[in-house]
Amino acid sequence: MINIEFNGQIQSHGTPLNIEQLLAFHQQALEGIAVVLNGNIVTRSEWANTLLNDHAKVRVFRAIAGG
Amino acid sequence: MSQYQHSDQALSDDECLRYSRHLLLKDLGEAGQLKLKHAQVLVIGMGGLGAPASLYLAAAGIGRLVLADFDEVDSSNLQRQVLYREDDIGQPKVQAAKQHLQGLNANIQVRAVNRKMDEMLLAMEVAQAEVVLDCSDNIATRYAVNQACVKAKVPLVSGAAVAFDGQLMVFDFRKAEQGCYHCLFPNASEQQLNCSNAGILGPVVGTIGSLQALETIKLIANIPSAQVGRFSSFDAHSLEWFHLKVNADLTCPVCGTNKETV
Repeated sequence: MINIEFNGQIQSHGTPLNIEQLLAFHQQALEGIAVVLNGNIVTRSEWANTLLNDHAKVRVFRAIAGG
Repeated sequence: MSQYQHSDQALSDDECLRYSRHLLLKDLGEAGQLKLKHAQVLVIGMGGLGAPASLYLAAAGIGRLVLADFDEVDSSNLQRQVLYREDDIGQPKVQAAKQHLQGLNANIQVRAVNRKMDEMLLAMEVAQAEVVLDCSDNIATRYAVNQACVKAKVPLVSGAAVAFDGQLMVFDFRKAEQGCYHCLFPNASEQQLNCSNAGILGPVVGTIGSLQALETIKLIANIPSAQVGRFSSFDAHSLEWFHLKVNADLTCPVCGTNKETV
């Protein structure tokens, strides 16, 4: 069992998962988002390759267009 | 024509007086003020971000300001677009903006581009600029401006705001492997929130637009900035900032090794 913080909420997971799987678990809309893992942006091409460790902190930022 | 425009290598007495608070800054001084005087800056979008940004840039003595927008002033703009007046309603924004900015500083040149820029015109205007400010209100323009700046290797100061949220990014494309807007947000769509559908509080765009002007001045005057290569998110409720270094995505179709037309 590992605990992963997603946008400030801690969730337990029974199996290891990568960023892509975490986003799917939380039903996160994927359009226009930047994913931050432990304070560092993970580029989209690396989402599927980035396995999340216990106590990982993931945060999602959405592009805003207004001006 | 003003007497000031005749002098390129030194500031006139009147300019020294006018910009005296700049000249007191050791990071700026006369050399920095001359850089501002000789700079051309392109502001894309003259709404809530472009209005305060252009006011500060004009006041700071940026020699040539190019303002691009194809919208007209609407009464619903006046709540936050502080450059405009009630008399401007119905006028093209760039025309009204040019008039007010020249009234603020007659020693600078302001050029208005009152049309939607196609790829060729955008590329031409970007190539002539020392810094580009993205003050636009839609994703398509943000991608197009980012791509034009990457191609021309012109620094981009990008701002965005909606509701109580602001975002600020500075990319100095004169340097290699900086990352770009597309690296950060590779698949944004027009479904993203904007001021028309989610609302916006005036001082939020004012904050971001002012910071865009600040970062532009620093880029031109060669004043080091922590914001270069950084994405910052502003929460107007808590007044908290969240800062992130933007990593270059080597697979990015705009700035990476797999460049193609997107």
